[in-house]
Amino acid sequence: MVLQDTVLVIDDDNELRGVLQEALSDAGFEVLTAENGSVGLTVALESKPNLILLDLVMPVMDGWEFLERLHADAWGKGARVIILTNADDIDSLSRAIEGHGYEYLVKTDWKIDEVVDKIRGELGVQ
Amino acid sequence: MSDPGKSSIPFISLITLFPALLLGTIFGIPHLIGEGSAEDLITLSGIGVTVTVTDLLFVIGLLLSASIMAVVYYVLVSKYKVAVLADSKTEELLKSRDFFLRLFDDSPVPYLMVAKDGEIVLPNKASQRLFQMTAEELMQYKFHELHDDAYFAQSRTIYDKFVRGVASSDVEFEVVRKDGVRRWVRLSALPYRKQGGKGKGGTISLLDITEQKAIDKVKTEFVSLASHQLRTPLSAMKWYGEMVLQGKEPLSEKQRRYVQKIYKGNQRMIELVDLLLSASRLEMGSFHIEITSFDPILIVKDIFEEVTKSIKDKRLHIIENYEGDHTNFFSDKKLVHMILQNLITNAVKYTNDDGTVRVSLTFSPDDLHVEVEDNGLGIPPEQQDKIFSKMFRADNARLKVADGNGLGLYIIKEAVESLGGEVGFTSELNRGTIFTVTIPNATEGSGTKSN
Repeated sequence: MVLQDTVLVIDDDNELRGVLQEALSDAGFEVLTAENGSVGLTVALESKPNLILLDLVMPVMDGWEFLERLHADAWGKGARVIILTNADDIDSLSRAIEGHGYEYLVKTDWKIDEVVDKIRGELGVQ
Repeated sequence: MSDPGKSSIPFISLITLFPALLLGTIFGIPHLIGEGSAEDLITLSGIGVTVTVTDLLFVIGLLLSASIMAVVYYVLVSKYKVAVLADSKTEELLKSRDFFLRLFDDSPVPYLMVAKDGEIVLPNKASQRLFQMTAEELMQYKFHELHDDAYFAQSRTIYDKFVRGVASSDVEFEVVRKDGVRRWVRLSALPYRKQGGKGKGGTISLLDITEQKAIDKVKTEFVSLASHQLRTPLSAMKWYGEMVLQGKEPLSEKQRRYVQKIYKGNQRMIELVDLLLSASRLEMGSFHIEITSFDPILIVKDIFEEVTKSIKDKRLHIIENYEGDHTNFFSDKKLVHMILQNLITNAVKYTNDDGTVRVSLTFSPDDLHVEVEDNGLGIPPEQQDKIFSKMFRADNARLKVADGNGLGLYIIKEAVESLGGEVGFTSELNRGTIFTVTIPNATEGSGTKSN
């Protein structure tokens, strides 16, 4: 990889941001992190990452509002987002994916390798 | 209470004299006015007395009257005795009736006495308080007309059963007070029943469980929230664990073993949290039911795949049996998966080493019938009515299998019921249990709904 793909991890939990950062860096990605939707939005619009891993339930600005604002942006509209969440009740998820077709992963159902593979697949890298 | 027998004794006694008077009058009058014929004379020569036939008849009449009087008197007196006795009995009965009526009226449990068509005939004070209505206002209703509209079908079913003389117990739904406030009640309808006949009225009890429901809801929401919160650190532990176990940093054999144990413990926590979440979501009714077409056999295969290790470790013999058309089944995939997973993992968990687990799926156009049989501990007969309760574990299971949580069967029941199906079992101690689940095939009216 000459130019590293950038992944932005937006999650309010330190440990989770940490483990994702480690795993994705090990896998060769450049990783940016943000602890809530508000910070995430600033970082996203500034550095235009190749993919955003988004938690839903967060303080300050939650994932739903983040998606709404992201969509208001010309670049943001087409940004790749995978929702990585602990909420697996369809009702709250459908609010997030309504009309946008975002994919969502329930954290505890996935192994870290599988998450990394999923991102690789999404970005079309080996 | 006055007794008709008592006052009429002298009167009836007098009437019994009537035959003597009648005979005397008919035959005595001609004799007195001297018109009696000579043939009327009878000479009782033996004793030297001469009497007329009339005299004789008069005496016979008197004797007859006396005997009739004696008989009538005897009958009347014995009847009077019975009446006196009955009087005191009636008094006792009346007292106990008053006592029970007071008990009924003052009971803290709302009760309605209803006629056979369900019309309220006697609402006690607690029921008047529950509905904020007077007895007269309540008596304008039939008992099943007091529900909130959302529960129309339920109360209709209870009512239909009631008029057929069939009891309902512990049905929970909301009723509407006069001021429009809704209250949760637990209703039991007990029709009085003639032998083999239809109902002829009965008693309805309506326990107000509004407070209890509110507490339950808070508790359920708490569990749901706590479970969501728990998932975050659990997933961080899971992923770090995986990175340690699969990472490039070398581990000693011991270290690897320890980390594996930590990882396994973490996995168990994740499963428990998942179960708690499912249970609380089913309870809150926030499970979104989505009807799609899928093949339940594939789900069974996946589940067996997940428990391959346990099956191998315990050297279990697995029998699978599939019948009918499995390509045309519609239901909620997530719930069906949940049901089958809990049934099968339970069977694997509770079957002894070298035992057999049998899974059979029979498809018909109307429903899917599932049987899961194990060679396990069996359920003690005295605990069989509790096994679908939340957090309940039978004593023998608790002793033998440590890592159960008492949620599996509860979730199965909740999930089956939210799909409109039925669950049951037969069990023999130390021989095993067969669980049977019937899930309707939702071919008709496919779509989505919230339960």
